[in-house]
This record gives sequence, structure tokens and C-alpha cells, in this order.
Amino acid sequence: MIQADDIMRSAAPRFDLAQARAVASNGSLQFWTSIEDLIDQDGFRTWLAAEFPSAAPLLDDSSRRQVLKLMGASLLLAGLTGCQDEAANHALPYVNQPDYAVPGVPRHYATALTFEGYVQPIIAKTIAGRPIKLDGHPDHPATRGGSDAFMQAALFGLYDPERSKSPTYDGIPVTWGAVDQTLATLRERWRNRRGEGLRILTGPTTSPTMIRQMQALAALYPQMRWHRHAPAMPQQQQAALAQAFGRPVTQHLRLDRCAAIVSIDDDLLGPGPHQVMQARAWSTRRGEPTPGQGRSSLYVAEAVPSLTGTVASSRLPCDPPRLGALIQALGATFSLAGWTAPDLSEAESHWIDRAVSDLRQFPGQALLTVGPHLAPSWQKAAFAINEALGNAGETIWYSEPLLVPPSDTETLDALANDIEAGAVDTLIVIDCDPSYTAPTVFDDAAMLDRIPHRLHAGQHADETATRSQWHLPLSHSLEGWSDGRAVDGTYSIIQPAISPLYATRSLHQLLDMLAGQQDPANDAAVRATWRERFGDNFDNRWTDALHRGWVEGKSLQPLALKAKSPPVPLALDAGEDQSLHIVFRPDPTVWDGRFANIAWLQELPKPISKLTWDNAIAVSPALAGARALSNGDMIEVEIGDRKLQGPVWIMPGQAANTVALAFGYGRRNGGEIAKSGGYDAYAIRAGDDVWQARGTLARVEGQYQLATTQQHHRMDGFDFVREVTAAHPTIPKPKDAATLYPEWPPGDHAWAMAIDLDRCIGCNACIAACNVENNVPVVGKDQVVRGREMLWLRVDRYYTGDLGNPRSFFQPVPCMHCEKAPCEMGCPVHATVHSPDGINQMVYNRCIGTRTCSSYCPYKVRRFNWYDYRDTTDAGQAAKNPDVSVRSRGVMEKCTYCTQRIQAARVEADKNNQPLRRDEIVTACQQACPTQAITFGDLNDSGSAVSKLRRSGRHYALLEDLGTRPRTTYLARWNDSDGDVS
Amino acid sequence: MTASSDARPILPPDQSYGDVTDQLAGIPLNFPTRRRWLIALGLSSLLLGLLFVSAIVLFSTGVGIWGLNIPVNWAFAIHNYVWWLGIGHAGTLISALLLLLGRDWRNSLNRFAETMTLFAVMCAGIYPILHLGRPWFVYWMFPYPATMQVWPQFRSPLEWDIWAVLTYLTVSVVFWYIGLVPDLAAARDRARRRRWQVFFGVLALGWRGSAMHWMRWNQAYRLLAALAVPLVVSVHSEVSLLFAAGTIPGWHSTIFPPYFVLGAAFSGFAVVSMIAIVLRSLFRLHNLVTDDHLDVLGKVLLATGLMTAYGYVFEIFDTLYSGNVHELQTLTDRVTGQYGWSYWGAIVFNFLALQPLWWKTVRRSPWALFAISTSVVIGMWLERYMILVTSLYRDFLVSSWGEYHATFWDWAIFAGTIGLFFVPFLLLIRLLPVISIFETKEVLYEEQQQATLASPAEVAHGRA
Amino acid sequence: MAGPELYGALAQFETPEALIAAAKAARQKGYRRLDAFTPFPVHQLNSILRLHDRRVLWLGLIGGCFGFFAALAMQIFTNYDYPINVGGRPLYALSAFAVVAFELTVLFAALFPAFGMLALNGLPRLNHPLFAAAAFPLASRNRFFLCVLADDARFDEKDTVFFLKGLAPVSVELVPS
Repeated sequence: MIQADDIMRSAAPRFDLAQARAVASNGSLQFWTSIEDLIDQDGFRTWLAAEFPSAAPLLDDSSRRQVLKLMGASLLLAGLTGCQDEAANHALPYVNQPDYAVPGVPRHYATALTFEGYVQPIIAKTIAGRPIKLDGHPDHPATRGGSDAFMQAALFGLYDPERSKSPTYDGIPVTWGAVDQTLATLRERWRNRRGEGLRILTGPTTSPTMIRQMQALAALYPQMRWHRHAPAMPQQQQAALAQAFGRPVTQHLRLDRCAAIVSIDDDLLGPGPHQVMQARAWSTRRGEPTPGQGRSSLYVAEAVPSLTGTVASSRLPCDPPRLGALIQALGATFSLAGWTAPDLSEAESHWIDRAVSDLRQFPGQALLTVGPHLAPSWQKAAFAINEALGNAGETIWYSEPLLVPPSDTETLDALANDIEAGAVDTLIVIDCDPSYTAPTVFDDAAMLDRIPHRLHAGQHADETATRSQWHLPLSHSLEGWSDGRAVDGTYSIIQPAISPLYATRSLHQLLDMLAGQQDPANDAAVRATWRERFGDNFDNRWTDALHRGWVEGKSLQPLALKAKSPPVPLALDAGEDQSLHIVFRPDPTVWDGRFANIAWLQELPKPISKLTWDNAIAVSPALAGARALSNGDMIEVEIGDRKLQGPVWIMPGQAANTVALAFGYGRRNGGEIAKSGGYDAYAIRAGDDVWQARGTLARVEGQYQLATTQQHHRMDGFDFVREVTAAHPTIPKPKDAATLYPEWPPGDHAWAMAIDLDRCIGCNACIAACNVENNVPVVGKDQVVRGREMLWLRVDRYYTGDLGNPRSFFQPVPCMHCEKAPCEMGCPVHATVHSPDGINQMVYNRCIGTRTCSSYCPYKVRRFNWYDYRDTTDAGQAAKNPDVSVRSRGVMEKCTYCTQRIQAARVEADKNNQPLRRDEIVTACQQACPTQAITFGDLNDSGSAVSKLRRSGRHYALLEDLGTRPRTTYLARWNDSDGDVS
Repeated sequence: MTASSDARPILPPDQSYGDVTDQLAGIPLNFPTRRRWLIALGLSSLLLGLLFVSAIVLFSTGVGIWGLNIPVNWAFAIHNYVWWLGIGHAGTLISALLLLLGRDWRNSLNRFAETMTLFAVMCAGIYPILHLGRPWFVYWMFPYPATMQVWPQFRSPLEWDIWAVLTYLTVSVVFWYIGLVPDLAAARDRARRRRWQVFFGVLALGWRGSAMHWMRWNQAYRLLAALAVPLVVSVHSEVSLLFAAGTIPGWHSTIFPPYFVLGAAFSGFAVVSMIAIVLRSLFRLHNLVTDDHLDVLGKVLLATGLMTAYGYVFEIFDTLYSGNVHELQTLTDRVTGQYGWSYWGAIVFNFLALQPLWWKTVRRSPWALFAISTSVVIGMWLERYMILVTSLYRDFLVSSWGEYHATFWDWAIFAGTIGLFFVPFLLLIRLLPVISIFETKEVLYEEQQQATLASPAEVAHGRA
Repeated sequence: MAGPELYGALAQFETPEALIAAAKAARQKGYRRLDAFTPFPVHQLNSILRLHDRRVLWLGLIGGCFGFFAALAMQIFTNYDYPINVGGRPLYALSAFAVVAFELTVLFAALFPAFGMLALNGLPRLNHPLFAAAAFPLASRNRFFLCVLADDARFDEKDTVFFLKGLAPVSVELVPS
């Protein structure tokens, strides 16, 4: 250990300018990684392991700190290499304080983030010019204030110290002036060739400005072609829609109108641009449904456990081919021309019968959806069946396409072919990373190098950037002007919440530069677009749109369309093929890899496996049993001649012969954290729109240390998560627990929280929001492995019953704020005590770290600063919430019910000399929850939402018999399955 | 001093006051086994050095260097604290309880037993400080008018512990020193070299052995003894409350106080036996620490051991009787779980290994007794580990179950405390009479008085 | 007449029995300012020499009471001074306070008599006339001494020494003060 530290110490200070420039010039932080290598030398490790076996892991502590050092160092590098010094803490956009900026008083901007081409409407809270919290826009018609984890963590994307900070040519930092010069010559070339060989590759977009600018470019360079690449967004559905309706359309779901939903491998509530809106809509029919509506029942057949499957009334795991069988059965049941019923297993037909009966029971109020990654013919069957049931126009409707370019010939494969043919002269890759996300499309990675002129614009020097001569840094969407449409079609104008931290340009500035403008203003393009859309009265509508956060006016009209009856599907393979089904999924925390450099997302537990910092190869318990695999065993997955190796994770409820791979890991570039773990699933994916394949699996040497935040998932017959059924709709109330202790006089408020387990979809938005709001530190993989994650709010995931197809449950667990708190009794120094308004307070600066409170806590919700976990990098500090103290080493911490928000509200109320308004105070988790599963409020006010919920028949407290009298309580989950309550 | 009840004299009566005095006071004055002593001191000092290094690393990096986590956020520090403290208790029990009961055999053992107590308690005492997240604020546990205007929280078992352990340490030191003064005087009067004379002269406080002084001394000494016994019981009861006051299954039980106290005495007597056996062979004290002494120690060991075993039985009964699912879960984890070795280890080392003590020959054989005592010390260590870790690593919520693996630094600090125990102990047996001189003479006097009743002839023979 | 420069006359005996006999005789002879010095407590002497002093025990009682009430006062005051809800437990949780109260009771009940004993014995006193006596070091080894103090009404150099010699001592000597 000592030696290890010496090496560290000797490493850190050795940082002279010459070396630093050398580092910068080859674009990657090799000098630093070489230090890592030194530590990783086998000789050293084995010596250490031999000398002090248990000292070996300590190395990893050091390397964790090393990562933090790196984050700081890369900022320093920015100063050395970039031409301006732009540390985050210099980000105040003005020199003299304007009168509208009052220090310490937050300003809120209604703006939006872009994700997979759609905008996510947000309210950005900024203090002293620094955005410190993003939340869903409460009034936006699509999301109604809901968040997802990506939205919450976007903040850390902004402050990511490894973002590209200046343009580079072959990795050498250059000025934008140099870029302008080069572009001038290139534009000349393009104009002469009329755009021949000019290719632009982007993700799909909904931005009118971008579309306008692309059209402008097309006018300038007629032969130019614009290719689409979205590795995590399936295209099959768009294709199917186009075929079924004879024109490109976008499909919209109205889950709030659904009494019955049947999903064939469609993760309606899972991560992605639609999650917030659909989860929100679904949740209105769960928990305490609005009077007049019943609860919606949800039937899910899926290959890989998903959030939707977890909350389903009835879930059927089945391998991809059997999904087809189910659709075929449905097609036959609803008598599509030529569709014949396949033979189904007993479980399958049972599931189908129930699904069909519900679909039939609620005509016009039911919905059949098919996963957008499944075969078009299956999709089309769904359109037809929904039409037959009269659901079309009710629970599902179609509109003009939102995404441009829509799925068509301009695919990545088309581009690859042209490159092969040498037809590509200039490739401009904007905000995507094909050489990481689609390596197999380009037969060999070096293929890109054959293109004479290669430009890459993005936020990181990623894999594609290193293959391009030019890398142009793009602004974060919080830094630049833009626009776009939410998933419901509503337009939003994106205004910056902070001026660019580094020498970056927004997407639209870049496009204008391609069109020939010199140094365009940040907002010029967007204003131009909307000036022509708003026409006269521009100023008012512009200001209104910025204030409101979206552009008023209904933006999408349902199209009255008739679906062509689908062709008879291809015969199902009988399954004599012994190979396995390999399915590809975006990762729930780093998506397609674009978020891979955000430590906060890396440490966010994957909703179902609770893994952090890595992706794993998920296999079914049956398969694991057959191959004698256990968690962490290294295996090799082979598709055709392509192979990858990764650690196994046994996933209860996964279809027997299905193996699930997740994108986003195994990065070779794009940041130290991004490169830190996992395998690269793209490496064996045969195209950017391939979602399943046949393959094989083999055990290989070695074990891999996976970091999970929950080691045991089986509820083991305990009743932590309770259920009610239509037959027994209420939970028996416990007889009033007697206590020897005197009642304390009630305070002016009695804060309490109720969590509706019937609405929780385990999406992690609450955890992410809590982390950001409360400055919860990231501790690194090795600390998570040792059970030291710092999450104040965890979402426990349990299952009961048969491993093959268990019932799964989510249970968010913050501090229970017990009225008779065992923890407080244990503290010798009054560091955790009870506030008059019933909050179990943690006094950080009084804590001496005896950890008695945590030992005594029956819920184990307390977290301890085993080391100094504070992120001391400029970027890390810029993101901190100034209203929440940052905890030092040796101090206990935990959920405070966002006490800073309560205090702020109290102060405000006092200033106005008024009482707090009912349900005025909203905790971060509650605010973020897309399904409104979390309710916070005052028990003294019998009219408050939480008081009402506490009167519900489903209300219960966790570990009630301990007599701790928790203030955080739960509402039991409805069990709509035909099975009895577990 | 009440007369010894057993007829057979515990000490061979044919020794004179003078010889005993010279023999015992001679040990520090002209130290017999210098070499072996130096080797022992050297080894212990190495361990002590390790403790310092570990402590520095600990204070500079944080308790993260230990294997702790949530849920197992207490482990080595607390469990070794309990273990050391328990060992200490035997010293007090031997000198205080047996003094009151008038068991003369105690007079040959009490001195080093008490000395052992002091340093065992010291080792225990440093752990609560080491294990703090912010040790530099340990003084916040004491009531003083702080700028924060906050006082300590007296409902907390940890707060109780601070007071209990400090009281125990103070009283032990005073008791030990008061008992030592007359022997210091004896050593002073035997000392020939100047620096020894000054050393003992100052420490002896000018004790003259006046009848009046003896009377007051006796009152004070017996009063202290009378206080020390309930003190010992209270101290380890409080230590047990550290666990029993929590809601955690496997801790929340009323059996804990007696269970812990008995366990403490058990481990302590084991250590006393070990030290007795070593010292008597080192300093050839067979005439003062006789096989009868070993015999008695063996019996006490067996008795306390069986009482501890009763604790095991009752714990199981308690759980089954309560029928609480979480308690049952914990019991299963203890017996069959990942840390089952600590449970069965405790059974084997604490109970099975004890059984040979039923035979007199075993009790009287130094080797056998030493081996068994060693096993008991290990067994009690395992038991404390079991009680602590197997309760914490799987408490109520399945989701928060975890694991604990001791790291290099956990072990380093534990080994270090062993050095912290032996270094001062070795220094004191080098500097002070290891066996109470005057109390030995007292025993001889009483034996000879009884002998006089038997046959006056012997009396004359006894003197010289 | 008793010379002021004398501390007393010191007689050395071989056995406790001899000392006891001598002490009895000295009392009968009318000596009152007697003191005995022994290597270990010889309890018979207390009655013979009329030694009677229970102050040490009283000190124990006083110390105990002091500790007990001090502890209670401390705990009650601190909670009175900083009244805050701790786990819904009562503010003045006497059952919890009992523990520290007991500890402090024991602590002071032990410290008072211990230091009281030394004080009453006039210790520490590193120098004392008796240490000048040649045979006195044996008092901590195996010899038993009777001392007639010079300030005894009946003390007379010759008579007292003569009287002591009559008790078959090992030696008799005059101890200068």
C-alpha cells in the first residue's frame, strides 16, 4: 500500500509543460494512463497481493482518486492546450453584476434538452450563472414536469471536464480561425463539385432550424447527401408504418385512455425519449385511479425483463421467435386475412386467452403494441388489429412524421457502400460516433480513413473524432440556442442556461459555417427560423415562447388513415436450430454510450440488475444452470465470425434461450470514465438497425468483478412489498402499537411521505434527482463493490416465485424519518436528532462518525463518508447545489426530505407573512417522478395529499412491528394477475 | 484477613518471610531472565510499531481502509474492543471478588492479574477512538460548555461506555497502586543501588507499615474491592447494551448483559492462567504459583466456560421462543451462513476444548491448561466476531444485506494492540514485584498460625 | 526526661506473636503513644493498640453520594439546557441516566477513600525519622517492630529502653527525630 501511494505521489506532481503539451498533442491522456499502467503492472500487483493480500484492493482506492485527479488534470490541460482558460468556475457570463442577478437567488430558465432528436422540456435552475438543477417543465403538455435519469444527469454532461474544449486538427488544438480558413477552401471545393461526394451524418432531428439549414445546404450543394444514424433507435416501426399507410407517419399512444394494454416486447415505460410521457399517461390509470376509470391491466410478453414487464399484471417471458408466434396467434384470433394460429405452449395460450379477453372487453379502450425493433410484418398486424378493435384514433393515432430525416434510403449502410465505392469526398459527422456505434457497418475501421476530408463535430474526442482530421467541439444543449419538438409534437425553443464554458459552437452555428457564414451568432439561426414562422408579431411570440418554454398552438393533427391489411408473416423457424437468440438493447443508464463519461450515470444502479459501472451479458437462470455459469464468469458470445467477451449476469425472468447485450460500454475513447468498464456490444452487431441475431455462447477463462448495489433480490417470504387484490382491496390495519414513551408535543407541521408502489416503474429518475439536488458524491466502482455507494434514495428490487418467470417489485427506500428513531437514540453527541416538524435530522458538522445510528437503523438508509469523497475539481464544484452542505470525510449522511427546500419555503412564507400553502413543498424525488408515485406533505393538514393517501386502504409502513413509526410509508401494489397475492 | 477455608495450605509452609521477600523483591532488583525478556520486549515493540504506522495511515486516510461498509459498519474495532475489555475483567474479579471471599490462593495471582487488566483496558480503550470517522473530535463526547452549545446525548450506549470504561480504568489503576504501595516499600528497603532506591522510594510514598496505616489501608483496599466487583459487572453489561439497545436481530435480547459479563470473565481467566504459567516458569515461582493454583484456575475456567455455553443455549431458545422471523433468519445465518465458521469456532474453542478440564491431572498440567486457555481466548474472539458481524451483515431488509471482509489494516491494528498490551506489561514485570509480597507473607502467617494449632513444633521450624 | 531530639525507642522482634506480646506489655506498663511496624497487616494489633478510625469508610460513603448526585445533576441539566427530541424518547430519561449515575457513584466512592487513606496516613512522606533506624528496613521484610514514641508521657530514655529490653527483642535502639 505504502509503495502504491508513493507511486501515486511521485506520479501526480510530475507534470511539466513539455510533457503536458506532448500529451495534448496526441489527443489522449496517455501520460496519465501510463501511470495507471505502472500501477497495473502484473509484477507490482502480484507482489502486493503476495505481501498484503487485503492491501491489493486499496490500489483501486488510489486509482479511483486517480480518476478524480484526471478530471482535474484534464481541466488543467485545457488551460495549456486551448487558447483561452475556461475553467467552469469562470463561467459567469458578465463582468459587472447586472442588477437582475442577485447573488444566491436562483434564476429559472424554461428551456429544453435534446435526446434522440426530440426535445425534453426542462426548467433549468441557475445560481450565479451556473445551472445546478434541471427538472421537467411542470406545465409542458407532454411531460407535465416528469424527468428521467438522463435529463437529471445532463447537468454533469455540461460540466464534464473531459469535453472537447477547442477545435483540433489531427489532435492538435487549433483556433476557430483556422477552422474558418479550412472551411472556406472546402466550401469552394463543394461548390465546384456541386456537393458531389459531400456527406453529412447526423442523428434524426425534429429541429426546424436544423431542417431549414440542411435545406439551405442542399440548395448550395445539390449533390450533397444527408445520412441518418441512430444506433439506439429502432427503425422497423417507421418502415412498417410507411408500408402500412403508404406514407411516413409517426405513431402516438394514449396510455391514459387504455383499460387494457397488450405489449409484445414493447418497453412502453422503459428508458428512451417516450418514457416520461408514456409513464405519466400510464400512471393515471394506476394506484388510486381517477373515478370513472378502472385500473388499466397490462399484459407483457418479452424476451428480456423490462420496466414494463416488471409492473405488468401478467408477464410472459418468451424467446424472440415465440413473440412472433404470439402475434400470429393474435392475428388469427382477430381473423387477419390468411393468418393461421400456430401451436402455442400451455403458458402462451393461457396468456393469449387473458390478453384477448381483455382486448375484446374494452373495444376502443385497449391497445396492442409491438416492440419497435420487431419485424415490420408483426408491426403491421398490430396496426390492423388495433384498427379492428376500434382502438385506432382512440388509444393510438397517427400524425405527420416528427423525425427528419425519416427512415429511408439515406442509411448508414448506404453511406458505407459509397465510401467503399470511393464516392465520398467529404464526410461531416455531427453529434454521433459511428466508428464506435457501428464498427461492423464499415467493414474495417480504417475504411473511414480513405475519405479525403473528414470532419467530426461532437462534445467529446470520441472514436470517430480520432478517425477524423478535424474535430470541432459542439456546445452542450444548455449552452446554445436551438429548437425542436417534444414527443407529442409540441415545439420548443431552446435557450441557453449558461454561456459556453469552452471554445465551442452550437450545431446551428456549425451548419451556418458550412453554408459560408463567418462566426455566426449563437442565436442567429434559431431567430431566423422563428422570425419566418412567427411572421409579424415575432417579438411577442418569441418572448412568450421563451417564457413559456414551448410554442403555443396545437402542433399535430391526427391523420385519418386506414391500415393496409398485413401480408401473411414468414413461417416461424421451428427452433431445431440449437443456437441462442442474442438481443441488443440500449443501456438504461448510459443509453447508446453518449452518457458513458458521466460518472453519476455510471454509478446509477441499472433498474433491474442494480449493476453499476459496467454492462453485463444477461442470461436466463435456465441457461446459466445448463452452462454452469454464475454471476461474473467471463463468457464469449459469438455471432457469425464476430466475438466479444464479457461477464455473465443471471437475470431472473429472462427468456430461456435469450442472451441480452447492452450498448454503451467498452469505449476506446471519449473520456477516462467512459473507457473505464464493460464490453462493446456494437462490435458484434451486424448493422445499426439490428436488434436480434442467432449466436452461441461459451465460457472462457476468468472472473470479472461486477459492482452491484443490491446482492439479494429474492424477497424470501418477507412482506416488504405488499399487495392488494380486487378480492382483498385493503391491508389489515395493525392494532395501534403501544409505546412506553411519551408523545412529544406536535410541531406546526408533520412532514411525511407516501410512496405508491403501484405507480413506481423503477425508472431511477428519483435517485438521479436526489443525487443532483443533495450533492451526493460518486464513489467509484471499487467502493460500490465494497458496499459503500452513497445513494440517499435507493430503489430496492425484489422478486418472488419461480426464477424463470418471477413476479418483480420495485420499492423506493429513502429515510423513513421514524418518529421513534432508533438511530437518534444511539448517537452520543446529538448529531442526529428530531426536528419539531418531524424530520430525522443529520447534523453533519456535529457528527464524529461513531456509525451507531447506521448500526441501529433497521432500514439501512444511512450512508457514511468512508473516505473524503468530495469532488474537488472545478467542474465538480460548479455543479454543486449551494443550499446543501458538502459532507466531509468521516461523516454520516442520509435523506433529509430535502430540508433545504422546506426551509426555503418557510422563509418565503415568513417573508410574505403567510402560512405555507397546502402541498407547496415538493421534494426532489417527488418532483422528478414521471408517474407521481411519491407524495410529500404535512400530516397536520388532513386535506394534504399525503394525509389522504395515508387514509387509503393500501397504506402500510415498512417493518411496522418494530414500532419505529415511520413517516415514510407505502401504498401496496395492486395484484391484477390471476395468481394469488404473494 | 479471613482464614483460608480449604484445609490444605495453598503455599508450601516451609518458607520464611525473608526468603519470599528477597525472592520477589529480587526479581526487579536483579532481573533473572534478561535475554528472554529482551526478545519478548523486542517482538512486542515491533507490534507496537505496527500499531503506530496503522494508526497514522488510518487517521490520514479514513476508516475506509478497513473492510467496513453499509450494513456492516462496525466490525474489528468494536469487536476487539469488547474482547480486550472482557479479558481485563478477570484481573479485577480475581483480586477484588476473591479478596472479599477470602480466597488466599488469589494472593499469588492478583498482582499480575491486575497489571494485565490495566493494559487490556488500555487496548480496549483506544479502539472506540480509532474507529471514529473523525477521531480528532472524540472530546465532543464529554460534557463541556461547547461553542456549539450542544451537550452529549446521555441516552446513547456509546456515551455510557465512555463513562464506564474511564471509571473502570481509573478505579483499576487506583486499586492496583494502593495494593502495590507496601511492596514498593519492601523493594525500596531491599534496593542497594541508588537509582533503584530513589525509584522505589518515590513510588512507595514513604510507606512504613505502621499499624495505624495498615488499618486504614485495609479499610480502603477492601472498600475498593467491594466497589470493583459491581463495577466490572456494570461495565460489561453496558458494553453489551451497545448491541442490545439496537433493534437489530441477534442483538436485541435481554440475555446480553449476563452473557457478556460471563464471557468476559471466561476469557479473562484464560489469559490469567496463561500469564501465570509463563511467569512461574520464567521466574521459577513454583513455590508461590503452585499446581494447586493451576488446579483452581482450571476449575474457575471450566465453571465460567459452562456458564458462557449456557448463554449460547439460551440465545437459541430465546430466538425459537420469540418466533420472530428476522431473529430466526439471523440464527440460521449464524449457524449455516457465510460466517458460520465464527459460530462453530466459538463452540469448538470455547466449549469442546474446555471439557478435558474435568480431569484433575489436566488442570494441574501447565501445558494442558495453557493450551486450553489459548483456545478459550481464540474462541471468545470468534464469539465476539460472530455476535457483531453475523447480526449486521444480514439485518431486516433483504435488499441491504451485505458482506464483511477484514482488510490488511484491520488485522494490522489488532496485532498492534497486542503489542500495546505486552510492551508496558513486560516493562512492569521488569520494574515491579510481579507477585504481591506482603500478601504472600500474610498467607504464610495464617497458614503457620493454623499449623501452630496443629503442632507447635512446626512454628519454630517455620522461622529463620 | 524526654529529649526533644528523640523520636522514640524502637524494639525489633522476630515474630508477630512476640510483637503482640510486647505491645500488650507496653500497654500494661502504661505507655500510650505506641506504634507498631510490620511487613504485613497484623490485625490483633488494632485492638491492643486501641487503634480506631472509621473516617476512610465515611469518605467512601460521601464520595458515593457525591458521584451519584453529581451525575444525575449533570445529565438532567444538560437535557434541560438543550431540550431536543431524540428518537421520541423522554427528555429526562432516568432509566438511561441511571447508568452514568452508577459509574460516577463508584468512581468517587473509590477515589475519596483511596486518597483519603493516604492523606490520613500523612502520605506521601518520603522522609521519616524511623528510616534512620538501622534495623528499620527489615520492617518491610521479616521483622516486627514496636516503637514507644518520645512524646509519650511516661517516656524516659533509660527506663523505656530498659523496659523494652525486658521483652526479649532482637534489638532495641533510640531513634533520633
